[in-house]
Amino acid sequence: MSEIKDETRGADPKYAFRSEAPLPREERVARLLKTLEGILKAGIYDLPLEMYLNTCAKCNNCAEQCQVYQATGDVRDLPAWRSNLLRRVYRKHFTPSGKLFGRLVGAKEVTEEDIDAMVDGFYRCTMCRRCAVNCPLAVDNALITRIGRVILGDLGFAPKNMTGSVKTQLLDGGNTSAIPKAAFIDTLDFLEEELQDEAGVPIPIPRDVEGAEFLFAAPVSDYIMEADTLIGIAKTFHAAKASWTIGTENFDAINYGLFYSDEKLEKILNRLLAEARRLKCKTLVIGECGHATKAGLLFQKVYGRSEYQDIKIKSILEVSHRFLKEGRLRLDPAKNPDLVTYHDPCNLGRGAGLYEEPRELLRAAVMNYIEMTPTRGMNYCCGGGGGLVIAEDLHTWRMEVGGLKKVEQLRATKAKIVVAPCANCKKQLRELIQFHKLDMELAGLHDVLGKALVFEKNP
Amino acid sequence: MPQIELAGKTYDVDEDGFLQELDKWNEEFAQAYANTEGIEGQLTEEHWKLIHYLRNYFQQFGIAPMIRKVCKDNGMDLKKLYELFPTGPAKGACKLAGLSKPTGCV
Amino acid sequence: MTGSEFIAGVFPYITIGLFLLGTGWRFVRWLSLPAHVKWTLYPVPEGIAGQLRYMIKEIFTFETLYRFNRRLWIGTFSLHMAMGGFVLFLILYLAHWSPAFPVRASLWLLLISLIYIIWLRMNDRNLRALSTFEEYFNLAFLAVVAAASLIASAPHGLFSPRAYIIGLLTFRPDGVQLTGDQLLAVFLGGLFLIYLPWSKMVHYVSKYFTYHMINWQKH
Ligand code: SF4
Ligand code: SF4
Repeated sequence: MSEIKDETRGADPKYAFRSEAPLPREERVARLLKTLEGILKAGIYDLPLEMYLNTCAKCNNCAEQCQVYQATGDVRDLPAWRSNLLRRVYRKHFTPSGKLFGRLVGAKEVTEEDIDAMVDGFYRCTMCRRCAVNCPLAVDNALITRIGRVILGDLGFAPKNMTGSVKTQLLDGGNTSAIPKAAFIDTLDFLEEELQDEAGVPIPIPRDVEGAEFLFAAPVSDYIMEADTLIGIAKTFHAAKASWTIGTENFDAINYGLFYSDEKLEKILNRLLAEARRLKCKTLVIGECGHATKAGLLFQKVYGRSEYQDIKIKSILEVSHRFLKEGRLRLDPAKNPDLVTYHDPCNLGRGAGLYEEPRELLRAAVMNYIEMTPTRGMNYCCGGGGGLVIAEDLHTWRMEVGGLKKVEQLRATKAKIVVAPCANCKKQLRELIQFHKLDMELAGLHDVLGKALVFEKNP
Repeated sequence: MPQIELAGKTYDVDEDGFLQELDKWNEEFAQAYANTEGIEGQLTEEHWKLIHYLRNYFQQFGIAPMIRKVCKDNGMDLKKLYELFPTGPAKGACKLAGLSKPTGCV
Repeated sequence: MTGSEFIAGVFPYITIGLFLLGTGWRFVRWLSLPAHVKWTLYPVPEGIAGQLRYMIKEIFTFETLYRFNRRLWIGTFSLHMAMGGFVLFLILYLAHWSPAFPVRASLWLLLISLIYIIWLRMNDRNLRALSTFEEYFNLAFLAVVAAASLIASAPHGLFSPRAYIIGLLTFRPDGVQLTGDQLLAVFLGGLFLIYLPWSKMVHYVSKYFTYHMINWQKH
């Protein structure tokens, strides 16, 4: 079949975010096909991908569950419509029926304009997976978004802040926030002083302790933004008399590879596992961070090096919850009298099934607790998921579109504190609260837990 | 490299307007930028105190300090910080102080 | 053998064979595909009982659609129930436990549901945006099959449909006496069955995989 060549090739449109170095326009189509072929061959996503690309009833149930579509009502925000941008390419180039019957079976040759639409579309989805919960065929548009993003990443499209942060992280001793080691140590010292002031007893933040049971890695931005979370975590470990440590060679759990690149995901994950191995820790504990937890839990088996397979990966929520269940935490809820609500980070809830652990911790640590509606499996995304929260260019979109549903939901609770154990969610929710002038504060789970923990003075 | 002209002088900045080199900074730079970061009129003494504090820490450690530390060392709470720098301490205050743009999830 | 003898006496066996082969091939192929990356979607219904309960409820009520897209639910639900009813009443009818009327009623319901869905797809802004030729083709194809079956099963001709089908089932096909419209119904129905496992309507197989092997995958 010959194709009519369009002589008047268009120039790039204005994309919603800046990318570092997109491929020249005319090279994109060929590269996209090559990358997609590679992904199909790699066999990592075999079953889900083949399922999702072959079966979708086009029933549109997904749209009614998507906070983005609900905010815009725009046809291009219909999840199935967006997924079709990739599906039809797959059909055309990788299925016999698509090659044979083309448009008759929903297949279509990919064009540069289609790629523009993908750049736009796949970064208007927060990969929250809410739409998958009530898909009659159990199709997950979020995975298609992810595959789309990985392909686009290969074409050089990904928010600049994201790729820039990853570059910084992958430098020797690097991390996404470019915190030098000396500054990191200074920060830990500062936190120890704060801990002493708050708890009235010295509480150490152990560093590079070989053979500790837990290696703790926070999303590194916590060391700039979330003092209370870190303080709460140190208190929890201390109260439980757990053997834990922080590694000063690599203390950043963030893994933006999850949002745009399998290759980066693999590198970042293995760096972190290497730090656990260096310190001979059996368990890698990821701090309050949804995407980093999911990147570890879901991809360790496929991307973790074989020599690291024995290292367990856990969320701090599971670990603290276990301490609670074992009666190792003494909590005084009176320290948290305000009405508290809980936001389920998508990657911890739908992505990792951590629904009850944080709730049980909260109920033990606060006086007044209220659920949001809807909650748990149907809780709304903060609107900054899928890494969108670090794309500065998308700030207005996140405030006015992505987070709209969340704001309504928050407002309805009348809570004074919204707890979200995820660095991405924290940033987004804090910005939403400021932007929409909500009478509410944001806190991490361990911020609240830390306040309630009781320590014996001079034991 | 993008440049920006403020109060008759040109500066090399990144695409978001963050100064590229710490020592090209001067007080006019900060003052000229104030308006774009939501601060009306002249920078006050409190602004200057914070700006110099950030610059000192950055000179020593190559990064801005933890926000909690900023508050503590300057005897302010977070609310006050946001009053002074409406676009936030990480963005607004660092920008005026001539620090490079924070990366990652901040 | 004449063309009509072939369609009436041989073609049905070929179609059933190809249908089973296609469905089986899909099943085996998907079974062979490993899901390396764990893509579980929580919450997972508790235990086998919980999962069964979920599946049965979903299959018999289409609850997901009922909750979020009721206009389509009306059509899809009655379409699938009509198909189920058709099969069920056909069996009862063949066994002399039921008159022909419920079989034909199921076909009518099927036809009306299909026309309604086609109408809805053309008139709902979002469904229109999502629908491609494929969706309309599948719906129209099935509608034509349903219509042809309705015409063919109207009481006429020398041979009763029951005798014909029993003949097929007992491997003593004697289709020579089928009328032209009956031959057409057999032919179109057969084509549809052959097409089914290769179309995206193969979700009668894929659902097993998307739910059990992916969404509810164990650690
Ligand atoms: S709900 Fe599922 S089957 Fe329906 S359109 Fe969306 S992805 Fe497709
Ligand atoms: S994953 Fe979330 S944001 Fe993306 S389409 Fe589904 S519901 Fe919408």
